[in-house]
Amino acid sequence: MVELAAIGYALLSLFVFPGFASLFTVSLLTEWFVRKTVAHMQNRMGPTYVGPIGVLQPFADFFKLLLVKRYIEQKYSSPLLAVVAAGIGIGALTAGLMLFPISPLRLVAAYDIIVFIYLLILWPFISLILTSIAWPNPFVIGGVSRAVALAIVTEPTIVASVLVPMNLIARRYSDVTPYSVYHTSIAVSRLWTDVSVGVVRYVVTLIILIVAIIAMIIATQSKVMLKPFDIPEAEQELIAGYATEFSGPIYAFFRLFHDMKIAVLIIAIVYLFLGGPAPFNHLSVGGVITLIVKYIVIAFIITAIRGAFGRFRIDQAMTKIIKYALVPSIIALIISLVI
Amino acid sequence: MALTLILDPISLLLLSSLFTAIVLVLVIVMFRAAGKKEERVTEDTIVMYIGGEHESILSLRFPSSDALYWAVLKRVFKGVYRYLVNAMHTGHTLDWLKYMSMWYGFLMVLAILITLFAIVYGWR
Repeated sequence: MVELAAIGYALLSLFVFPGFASLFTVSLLTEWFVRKTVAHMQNRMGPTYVGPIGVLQPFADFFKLLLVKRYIEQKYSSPLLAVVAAGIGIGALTAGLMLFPISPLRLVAAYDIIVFIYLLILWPFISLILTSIAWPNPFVIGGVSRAVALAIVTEPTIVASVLVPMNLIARRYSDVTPYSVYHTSIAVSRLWTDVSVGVVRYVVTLIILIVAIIAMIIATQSKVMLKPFDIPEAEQELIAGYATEFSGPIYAFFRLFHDMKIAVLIIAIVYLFLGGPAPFNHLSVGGVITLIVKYIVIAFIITAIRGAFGRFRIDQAMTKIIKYALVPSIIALIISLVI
Repeated sequence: MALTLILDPISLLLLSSLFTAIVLVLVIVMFRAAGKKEERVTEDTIVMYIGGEHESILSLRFPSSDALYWAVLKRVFKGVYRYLVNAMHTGHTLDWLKYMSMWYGFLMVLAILITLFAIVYGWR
């Protein structure tokens, strides 16, 4: 009976909420939000035609690419490899959501930060590379080289930033399971409010948490290759970089994978740094509204950066990430180990 | 309303990999069911797109992906590299000595700091 219930929860979490169906919807709505907001910043209209204020445009784009458009196979391409690679990325992102308290089936383990890195950092990156090289092209190679170069500084930044609240919680609250995504998401709100640790420690905690959030947002911007870090797909010199040869359903899944990465990384920021629905719980109106507001705020910051900046050259992008994200996150990480 | 499974990290890794594989199967099924291949192909459509150039252009010298990657890294870390090289190669033995003692001094300070922290806070 217990096993049946567990299987039911697993299927619900994997396919419905927060799994494939919900993540699909949220990620495409996020794409609409990004496109519409950037359009307003640039004095354009953005998506308008499909659905009220164009909200269904990304859905129409996806289904048109999947159902109507056809993919063109070139001499050296492997469509199945591209779909499998994109599918692994989508699967890893979907499964990764079960580490967070938003899932009806919560997968919890001490030190499950390793699984977080495996599912949400490692696999999406490998998937991107594999999907790209399934359709080889000089522009793709150029784009992938740049993506790998960016990853050298982006991925350590994400890990260092995420470890900051985890370190603080592991050192400060012995009743909390250490380095667990679920428990960190629940306990992180205590870091923002717990003044009993002393004024100096409290202020330092706030500062390093804010530094870690800023670093994480910059790293997210770079990981999902939004401006100013979209040099791997710079259209003026690389056509579309790693996505040059994609067409039809392959491109539909690739875009979906990209949008899901944005959505999951925003959810990770909302939970690991801002405590998800805190100070409310998940099953209250206040909790749901708080969660949505936090999600939209982080999405808006990422969108505003995307709309406000021009593209950096690859060396400029790496230098900026090192200076404003990697080094501050490592300093915050070291401080989190000693306070 | 929720089921919490407390596992060890290895089991969690295996279970999450299984979930990843299940979604992967779903994506492949969607692709197989809905994805259509363009059947009307011409010579133009099956060659890779190289800005209108013929594929033979690739036989010319072309930077490898490794070269592109290292070029970027070298460019980013050029400042650090120059500093290290210039500090070492001034031709004065004293500069070399200063450089080496600087590093050994840094390592010494690091070792002392770690020891102090280990004594004060313990290893956990």
